Amino acid sequence: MSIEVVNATYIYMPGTPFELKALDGVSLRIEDGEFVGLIGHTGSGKSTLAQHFNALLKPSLGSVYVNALNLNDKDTSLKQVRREVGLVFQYPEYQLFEETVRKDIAFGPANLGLSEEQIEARVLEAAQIVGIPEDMLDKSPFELSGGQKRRVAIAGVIAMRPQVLVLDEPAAGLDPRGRTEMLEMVRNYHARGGVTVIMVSHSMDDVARLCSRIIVMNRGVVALDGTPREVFAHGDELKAMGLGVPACAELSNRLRQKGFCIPDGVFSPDELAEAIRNNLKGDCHA
Amino acid sequence: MLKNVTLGQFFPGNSVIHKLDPRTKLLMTVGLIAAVFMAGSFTGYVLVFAYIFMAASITGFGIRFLVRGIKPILTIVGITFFLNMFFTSGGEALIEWKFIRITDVGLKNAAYMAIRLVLLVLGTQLLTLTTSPIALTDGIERLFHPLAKIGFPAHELAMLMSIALRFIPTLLEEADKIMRAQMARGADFESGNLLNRAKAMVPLMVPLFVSAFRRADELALAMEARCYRGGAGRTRMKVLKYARIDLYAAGSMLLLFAVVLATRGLI
Amino acid sequence: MIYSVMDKKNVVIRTDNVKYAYEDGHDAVRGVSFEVYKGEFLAILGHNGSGKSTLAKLINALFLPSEGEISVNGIVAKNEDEAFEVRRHCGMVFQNPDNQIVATVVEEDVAFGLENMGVSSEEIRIRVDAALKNVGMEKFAMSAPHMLSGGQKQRVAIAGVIAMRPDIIVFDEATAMLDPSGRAEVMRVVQDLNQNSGVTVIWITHFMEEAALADRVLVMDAGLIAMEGTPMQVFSQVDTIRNLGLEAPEMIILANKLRAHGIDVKDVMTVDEMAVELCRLKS
Repeated sequence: MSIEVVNATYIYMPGTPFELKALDGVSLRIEDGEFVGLIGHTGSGKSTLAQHFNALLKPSLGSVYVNALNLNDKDTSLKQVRREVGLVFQYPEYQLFEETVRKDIAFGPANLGLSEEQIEARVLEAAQIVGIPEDMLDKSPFELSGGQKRRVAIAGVIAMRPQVLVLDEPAAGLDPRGRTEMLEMVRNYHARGGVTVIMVSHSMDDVARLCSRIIVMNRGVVALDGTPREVFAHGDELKAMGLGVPACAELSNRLRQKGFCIPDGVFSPDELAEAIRNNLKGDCHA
Repeated sequence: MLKNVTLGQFFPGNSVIHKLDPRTKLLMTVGLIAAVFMAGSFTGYVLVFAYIFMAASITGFGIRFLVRGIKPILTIVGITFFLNMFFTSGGEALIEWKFIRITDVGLKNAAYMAIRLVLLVLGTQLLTLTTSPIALTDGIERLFHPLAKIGFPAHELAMLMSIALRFIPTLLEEADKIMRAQMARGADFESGNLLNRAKAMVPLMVPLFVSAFRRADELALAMEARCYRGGAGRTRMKVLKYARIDLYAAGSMLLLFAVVLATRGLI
Repeated sequence: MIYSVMDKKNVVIRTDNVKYAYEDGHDAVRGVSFEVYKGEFLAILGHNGSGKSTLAKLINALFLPSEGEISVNGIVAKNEDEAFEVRRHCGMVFQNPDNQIVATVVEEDVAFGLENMGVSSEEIRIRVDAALKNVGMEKFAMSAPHMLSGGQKQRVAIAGVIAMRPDIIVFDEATAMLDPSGRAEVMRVVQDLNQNSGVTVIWITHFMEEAALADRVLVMDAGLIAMEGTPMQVFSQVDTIRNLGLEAPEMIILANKLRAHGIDVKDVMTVDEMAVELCRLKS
């Protein structure tokens, strides 16, 4: 399932004093099975772009294709598009509404018109993917902890078996352990194969740990697009956009300027410690 | 679209009417409403309209701006007109066809009711257009303050209104977000019959209420943390003061009221 | 690193074996004793559910302890009137920027606390203007709060608290819902308050980079204080920190790994310090 955005411009409230160009001629292509991080600070247009992937928003100019299907076409079934591209909003736990966790996860599959058995199978599968134990399924979602609620909400989208899963800030507001577990879950979900995952975030640390490709949005345009190592090489530009660079990546950049030779793509303390030792002990292989 | 509705919105400005004490404007609005109901003749209505026309010109918006505000209530005006026309008994029949019977009294009543409604909306708009919600709640609180002695919750009412005004945009934004999130899960808010549409609102309303309660809880705590203990012992940053102009404005309203009464031979 | 003017002899908050249980029986705080010194920047760390937010509300007398005693500026709150006194000395900024702004206009919101305290109109005007200037929001005095960014809203909330001129401000995860630039904005304002206005800051968070800026760190776990010390003393215990559901700053982890490789780096916390230290070792 590929997504292609061609020269998309999106304007909020056109013709009013609040008119705002959130996207300004964005073009990009996301291939089947990729794990992409979509980065940018608040107001960069990243969340607006994410809502174009499943036609919740339609570009004012330009077009978006999902599997070569033009989302602007009147014939394109929005239901079909939303079944294939699942979107998990920021703080998704605030959309839970059913009496039980089971019913809430089933809401999406039920809207697809599946049979009872199919729905049940999907609920169980989705719960297992996000790590919600079966005995929790008959509880009220409002009794759960914040982290569990979020997992249930994500399961509600995964249960629709989308081929593309877009997550907007899945780790926002979680503590370090919750964060690690959430990101681990997203990584495992992608590793199962067969799905494209797009993670929207303003945290470089999070996307650096997971994604094979990073798209940086700034002021409604794609500012940078490449592998983590390519993107982090632009440390100063990222800072100017209000984004940080992971500490180890920044230190690597800094040390290279001071004449250290640090190989590309070093983001973890383990790898960096190794590289620094090689420098200080005099056997530099770069 | 919501953004084209001017009814009930505040537009900042520098006119004399903007600067009037909100209490004066509230009392004048009450006076205007009374005048509309007292005026039982076309002459009376013309007088009230002339007054509104003048006030609208002073605000700088002009009567046309006010007339635009009537659009959202045109249906209500229409329904009122027809109900009065068809269901007034008595008078001479002008048209009779099967069970429909329109009389001259009916027609007159209908026209009067429609005119009253239009005048009411035009007049009250002057208040909301020129008075910020904060000044309005302040005015209400101050006006009803004397009643607090007999247990009327003047402060609580004003606080309630101001918090509601503060959270309306936040909750609208939230409703929009939840709606999108449910649409992403295949929810359909737009098609189906009335019953289905009502059912489709459940995934929107439940989270919205849950969130509103959570917000209320947190806000209550935050207010307490800032030493809030109800109205007793509170001061205000902006103190309302009557000025000479308030006297003139109130005087003009009294004059209108007197003239309207005179047209009915009550004075 | 700039240390704020901390006066160890001058205790502003003293808690003695404080316990708090919610009505549903959940023991959130299970016996906590510590002191807070005048002018200090104290960070309280802990994973979600460790009891740190409950502790914040106890300090601010929004909750009264089930057992034990908290004295704030010498006041022990036993009833509503004393609680009111405590809140005049000890302000609080909450996590969700939306749910702590009361008024429809920024300056009216900043005035809210002062109005509750019964301050005169003229004095309120002066203090509101000063507070807005302090947090760099004077241009937005007449704005509607819902049009502001998260960081701006939090700065308005902070202005509302500093206008009340408290000696102590508790920040209960005040940056958790902000993006990196919003977090930096708020952090700048708070550090300025602490260093230049002498406000005692209690900073509750689970962001290590923020706690690293504190004079002293307390780590909460299961309703108890699990660790206490300077950020360096606490964070250098990388494994203990991890077992408490937190993550030490990357540079400290890196320093530990380097030492394991036999490279003797000094204690460092930030990327800058690490870069300087490594250049020193290289030459």
